[in-house]
Amino acid sequence: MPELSRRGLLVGGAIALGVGLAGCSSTNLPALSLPDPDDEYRLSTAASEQELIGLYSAVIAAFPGLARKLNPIRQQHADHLRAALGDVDFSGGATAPPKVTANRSAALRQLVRAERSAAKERTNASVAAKDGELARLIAQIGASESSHKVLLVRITK
Amino acid sequence: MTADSWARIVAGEEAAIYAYEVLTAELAGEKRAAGMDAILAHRQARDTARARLLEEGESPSSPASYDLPFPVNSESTAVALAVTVELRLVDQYLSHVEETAGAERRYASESAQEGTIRATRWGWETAAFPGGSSAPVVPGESATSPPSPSGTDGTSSPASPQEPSPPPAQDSAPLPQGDGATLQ
Repeated sequence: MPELSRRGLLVGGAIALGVGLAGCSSTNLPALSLPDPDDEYRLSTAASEQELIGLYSAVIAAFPGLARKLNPIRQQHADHLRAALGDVDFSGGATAPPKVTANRSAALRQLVRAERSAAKERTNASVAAKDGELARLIAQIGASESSHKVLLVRITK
Repeated sequence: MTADSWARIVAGEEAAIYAYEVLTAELAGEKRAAGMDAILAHRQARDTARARLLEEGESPSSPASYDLPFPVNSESTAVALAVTVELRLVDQYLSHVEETAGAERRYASESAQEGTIRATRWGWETAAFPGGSSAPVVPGESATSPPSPSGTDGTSSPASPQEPSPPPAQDSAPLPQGDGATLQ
């Protein structure tokens, strides 16, 4: 059996792997890296970061004057996405661009709400994660997102 | 060990209270009020950690004194120390996340978030991965986050003549994060 890397092992791959394992004898199993149950939290965090990046991009497109202040925050979310994934493959998928309100301060409030909700999601995922290091990373990402709220409120004023 | 981790949190919160007591004396107006609020918040966090430590059968011990990472003798150095203290504690709470589970991990995660919120209110410009070790805070560089027009700011007194004047506002460059090594 060819060596399988974790890369590309999404749910479909995991099922295929299970079927493959069923056909193996119980002894001398090849050293397989089974999908990590924590990959779920890596992928859900990455998907959430992707949504945030999309929302920031939409707000920046609608209000180019905010680009200078919002680009660095959007970049932090890109860093979050990359770190959350580790070596797990993430197709991301094309999502429809989010709707942005025509009002500048309402758009900023939309970002504040998204960051607040993201920070709560990170705490939940951190608590759910089995691996302590991943729990720390996800909590760290949430701590970054909490600070974004304060920056955004400052920009709004 | 959970108890060791709680012991480090107790020590970190004690150090934070000490630092805030020193730095708040250099502040006036809304910033002083924010410093007082932070003292109360850190006392509460210290008491929570101490209670957990006692439940683990350990008794907390407090050092007699602390060395601040740099002298605090102005508003800007006071604010820099507040940022340093908060980010140092964020790092400790993130370690606590790693070493605990369940409700304790949730508490630690939420405490780390409160820390970055306070640091940002003091003028820290955020980072993708807060609390990581990085260059120590150097007075005159880290202390110069310009007062923001909102939040705890708005009452900044003019810098005293011997102080370096703050650099122009930077929207993206994060302040150096203190590793707080001497703040033990």
